[in-house]
Amino acid sequence: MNFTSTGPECTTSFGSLILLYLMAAIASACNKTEGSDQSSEIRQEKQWLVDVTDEVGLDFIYEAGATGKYYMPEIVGSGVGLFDYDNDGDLDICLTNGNLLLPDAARGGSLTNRLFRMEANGTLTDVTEASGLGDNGYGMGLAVGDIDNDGDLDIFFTNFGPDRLYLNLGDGTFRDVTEDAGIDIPGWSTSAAFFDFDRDGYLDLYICQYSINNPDAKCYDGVGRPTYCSPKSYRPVNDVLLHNNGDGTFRDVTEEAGLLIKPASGLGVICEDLNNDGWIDMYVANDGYMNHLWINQHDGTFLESAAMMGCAYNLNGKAEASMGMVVMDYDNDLDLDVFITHLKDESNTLYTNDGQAFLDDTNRRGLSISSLALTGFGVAAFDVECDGDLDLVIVNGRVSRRTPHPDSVVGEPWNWLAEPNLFYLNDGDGRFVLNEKRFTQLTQPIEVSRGLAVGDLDGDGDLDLVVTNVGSRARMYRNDAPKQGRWLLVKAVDPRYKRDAYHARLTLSTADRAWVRTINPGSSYQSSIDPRAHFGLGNVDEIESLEVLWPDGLRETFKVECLDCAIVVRRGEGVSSP
Amino acid sequence: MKAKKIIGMLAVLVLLAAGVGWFLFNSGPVVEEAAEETSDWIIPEFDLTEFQPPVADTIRQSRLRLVANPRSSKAWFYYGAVLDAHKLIAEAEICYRKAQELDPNDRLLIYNYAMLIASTGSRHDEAIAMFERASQLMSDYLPVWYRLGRLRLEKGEIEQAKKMYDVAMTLHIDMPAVHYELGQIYVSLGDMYSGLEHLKRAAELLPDDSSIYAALSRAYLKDGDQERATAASKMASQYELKLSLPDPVREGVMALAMDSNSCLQRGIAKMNGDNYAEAIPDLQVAAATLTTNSNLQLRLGICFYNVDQIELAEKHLHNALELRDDIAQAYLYQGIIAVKKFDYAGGVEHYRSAIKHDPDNVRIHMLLGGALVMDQKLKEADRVFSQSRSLGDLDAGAYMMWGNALIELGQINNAISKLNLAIGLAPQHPALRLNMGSALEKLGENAQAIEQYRKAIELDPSFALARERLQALEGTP
Repeated sequence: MNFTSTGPECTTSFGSLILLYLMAAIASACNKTEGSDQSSEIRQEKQWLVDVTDEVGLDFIYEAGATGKYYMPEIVGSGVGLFDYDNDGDLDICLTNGNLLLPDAARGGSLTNRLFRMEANGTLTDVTEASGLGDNGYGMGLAVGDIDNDGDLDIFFTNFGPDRLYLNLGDGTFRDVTEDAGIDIPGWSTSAAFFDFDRDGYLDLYICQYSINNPDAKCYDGVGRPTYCSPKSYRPVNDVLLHNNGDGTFRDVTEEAGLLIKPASGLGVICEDLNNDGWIDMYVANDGYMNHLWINQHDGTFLESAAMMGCAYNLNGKAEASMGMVVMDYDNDLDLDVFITHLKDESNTLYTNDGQAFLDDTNRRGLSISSLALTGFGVAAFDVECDGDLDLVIVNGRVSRRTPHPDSVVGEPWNWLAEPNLFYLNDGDGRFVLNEKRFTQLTQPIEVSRGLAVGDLDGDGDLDLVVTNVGSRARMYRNDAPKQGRWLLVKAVDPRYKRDAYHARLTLSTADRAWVRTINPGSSYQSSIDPRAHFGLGNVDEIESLEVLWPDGLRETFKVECLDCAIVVRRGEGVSSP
Repeated sequence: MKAKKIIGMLAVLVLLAAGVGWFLFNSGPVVEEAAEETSDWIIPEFDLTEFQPPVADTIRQSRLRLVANPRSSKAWFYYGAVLDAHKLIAEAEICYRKAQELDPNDRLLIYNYAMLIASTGSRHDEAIAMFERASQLMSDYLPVWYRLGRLRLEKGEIEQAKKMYDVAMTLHIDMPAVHYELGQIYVSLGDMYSGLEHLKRAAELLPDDSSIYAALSRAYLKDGDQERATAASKMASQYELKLSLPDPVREGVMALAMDSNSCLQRGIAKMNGDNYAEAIPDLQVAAATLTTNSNLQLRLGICFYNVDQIELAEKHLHNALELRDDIAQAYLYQGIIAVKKFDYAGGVEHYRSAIKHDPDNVRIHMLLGGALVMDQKLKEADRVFSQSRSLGDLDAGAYMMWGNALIELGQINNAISKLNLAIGLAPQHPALRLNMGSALEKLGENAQAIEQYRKAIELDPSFALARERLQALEGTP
């Protein structure tokens, strides 16, 4: 893994494998010298996220299988998972793919999801066939977790059509165990997340259900041209909660967990302890319906509490078209806030946790106006330059027919939906400032973006990105931001279960500051991110302590003796604290 | 009811505020206005082939009107409004801009221009400036201040936003949307007392809106009142979202939209306001394009039934069922129409079909029972009424029909018991008293029967049948 950029402007030095790519990029950049003032101004800014798609060999285009009949699944798009499937210490990339879309969601299409293995030299190798992970359903999203506590990561694919569970056999291959596991979810699933809601040590699974497809639904734009329908044209359904029985099988506990209330069109889910009682809750982003916050009652049931907790509707009392979501402590007050992406004419929404409930704080934090004209999907919060606060990236793309963006890089019909992406830098006081110049390579390709995942793909201590697009290439961005502080990457493991301690909460303290992060790969939109916790720390010399609140309630403190390093903390090896 | 009253009150305000009124703008003659000819007066034109025919027609006509009057600000405004209503934003703006050049003080134009700019989502400051201009021209039009408040909020200018909502409050003290916004602002500023007062007032004015209860629930939680927070949370999950700001000026522009979806939504809104006659043209335009929409045909059937155009109602109900044969409501209305035409057997058949697709609907069961009584299938009617009670509460009409069936079946005491239930639900209904008198007569309880007939006449002095029965009884020794 060695593709770190070190130089400014056109004098970058890289490994030999990527020389050709670079020469092309340099030539391309230098050919632009006669461009507009604006482009030359942009070029003077060092790019903090550099598109390395060609360089690393990420060769993937999500095929929606559009037939001109405007089937809604065509625009839902795909997810991406970053996880170390072969336990070689680096993150591999899994991307879901569409198919030729048939109204009855028949399985057996010619296209498959794809798995790319990260090689030691930083390039990717397509290992789909060899790994057996080429599910050929009409792919939506994915969730990653070790369902059998054997030390390797298994994967659940959500589909428009039957979902599939693949068991990692530990030798670089996977086996479809859907039927053996007793999983039968035939409908239209979107985001999913693994979490241990009953603290029995096995990862359970929450699966968002979008709606009952109606292939006969016909919808039109403002002048009556055919276009994609809104979710209200379909019948909403309840999401599904599967309990992991610990023997390789799952049981549908949706009803007994109390989740059968008003159905909605679920697109995103975050599993986290949002009321600070030590048990993992579920917050579901619904498309056009009130969001649901399921508070864990510690007895296998959940109580829907979004209204009371202030996160059912936005500040204006509207049920927004919620898509992707991320949990973050953007204001460094050591509790978890939530950010959700939305449709055009609705801003993205920031729900600030005030210790008791949530407050729609979008306006005050500078996140409203800049997102009103765009439709957000994938989202991530990470400290791009390691200055000690969380920044925000949102990838966008419309869902209804509009005049094509003049700079769209995709052809019809996707140019109707193409939009720029957004990158906000946190100003350190919890206000977000849009920054276009340093992120042009991310924001300027006007595409129909959907999935987004962050992770330290090149092992250099900062987080890189993968973005999926409908009808055009998935893109990988390397983080080249000049580090403005120290960093720490923490893998939290529960040795009893031989796996990452999903939903452990990590609080890192220095003499005068503290940060909280969680181990939570189920984030963004239909995606799975790096399961490690990344801390950008700013200018610190020493870490006082790292406290871990493990998912079973045990609290331990660990001593951290390095900075700018990746560490592993194991449950039981710290000092217990009250 | 309160919401309707609020809308009515606002409409009066609008008329005061708008002066010339939207009607003149919408349909009045185009007046040639003096303006300098400029070479850049290019009237936006479209390839209409992909547009739905009613949309293409309305765009074509409004454009022709402008072509004939290129110096008329109202013609530019109207064409712009038509384009605006069809979401052709860039072209609509060209027209609005030209209209504004020609008449910089047209308040309706300025307001709609501001709305259009705000709808782009990316030109906040321009929208604010335009709304501020509108606020000077129509300072007593509440939505201007509301929109300014919302835009200020989106900029994070909470104090400025509060000032705008305060002005709105002075214009109409009982607008739930304004109370809601102010309530949320006060809560976010930590003034729980004022926040709760505004939110509670919003809930009083609009008692079945989910978002108001959600805001109340959170505010109670913040205020430490867990019990009220829980109660409000339950209400939030029970209701739908209804909070909105009546904005007749904007609605005037949106009413120009002729695409199938807009027409359908307008038609549905009018139906929801029991305005069936006005809903029909909108639904018909939608139906011309949405030819396979069974619900649309059903809605047309219901509208025509409610305006007593029974043949057309039957035609559309039939169309609905041709498209989808499992629509219980279509069968239900077919049953109601059959009974109205004294085809009781037909009514029974349609109601049975409705029940097949909506088996738990107590209303259909009650109507089936009534039709069976009228079709003299008395024992079956008794059975249907009896079974209906397990599905829900019966209404007075059902108990009356049930009682009538039991009288015919000779089960007089049982009939009296049902009629008593009916009277309990509708004590002012004279026919119930007549039927009760008749049942008592059959039991030989003439004194009590007389009392019932007298009560029936008291409730309806013109009730000839009751008078006839009373005279017959009082003439008997």
